[in-house]
Amino acid sequence: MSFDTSMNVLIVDDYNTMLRIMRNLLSQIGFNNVDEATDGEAALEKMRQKTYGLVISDWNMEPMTGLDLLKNVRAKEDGNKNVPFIMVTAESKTENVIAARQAGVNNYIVKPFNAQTLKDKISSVLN
Amino acid sequence: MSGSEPAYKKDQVVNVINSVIQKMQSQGAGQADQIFRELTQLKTMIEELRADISSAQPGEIKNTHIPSATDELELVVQATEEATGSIMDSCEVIQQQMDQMEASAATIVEGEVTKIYEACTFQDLTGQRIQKVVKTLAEIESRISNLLSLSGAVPASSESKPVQSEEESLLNGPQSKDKAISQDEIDRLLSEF
Repeated sequence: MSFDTSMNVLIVDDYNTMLRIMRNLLSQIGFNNVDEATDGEAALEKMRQKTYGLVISDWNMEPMTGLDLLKNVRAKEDGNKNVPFIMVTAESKTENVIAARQAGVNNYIVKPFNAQTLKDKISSVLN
Repeated sequence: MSGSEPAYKKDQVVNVINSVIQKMQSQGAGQADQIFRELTQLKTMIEELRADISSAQPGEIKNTHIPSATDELELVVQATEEATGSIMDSCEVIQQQMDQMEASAATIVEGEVTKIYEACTFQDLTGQRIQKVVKTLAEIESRISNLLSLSGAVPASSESKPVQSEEESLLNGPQSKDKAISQDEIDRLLSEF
């Protein structure tokens, strides 16, 4: 791994348990500037206030899904427009992956996942 | 209608209606008796259908069983979330102690704690699966409502509930917190005997 772990990271999930797991796993990798949001709209609000170096988002959230969040991020002309975006989701159908890719996702992790997979995907989108 | 017959004799009803229409079109009023018999047969079938729907107690399924199943499933999600939270509390305490461990031991402990975090993702997945089941139950509930309204079956309030034995009425599984009594309350209750 050769990436800057001091960057701001935003994790988005409607399950508090997953946010906590993700925060702890990121902490083990070395990321300590981690913000949390529980749906797409809350994530956009965070992104209006801060520029992030990485976004890791669930897909299945209400009212705004992870896919809609991704589309919104890519559509906005601001500092977060091209932020590396990883979808972490239980949605594992081919059409989901294609839709996410077409919306501009950088990588896609299917739940359940392990820490090594998370590290590998982060490394691939940041390098 | 016997119990082995299908509850919904749709094909038979349609056949009788078609037969009546054909007779009225081809024979005129001279076949009035035959038409009357067939209409009576049709009426009987419809009444049997309504009786069958009522005996299945769809109102109770809609008003009691499905809401109860939904509540139970939501409590499963809540309980697993709480348990997962407790597991992670302990993991975080262990991680805080790692600075005081020898490097080799700390590495092993960190690896094992990571495995626990990975395993805890089950809570998210089971929660999502249970939400799918809850949505399916809501769909079933909606369709039963439609069936009730179309059939004119007896409303739930006037349905007779099956009689439960005393033992059966005591078997309700784990209770939600608002319905359960605490161990202290149980001890107090027992001490009164």
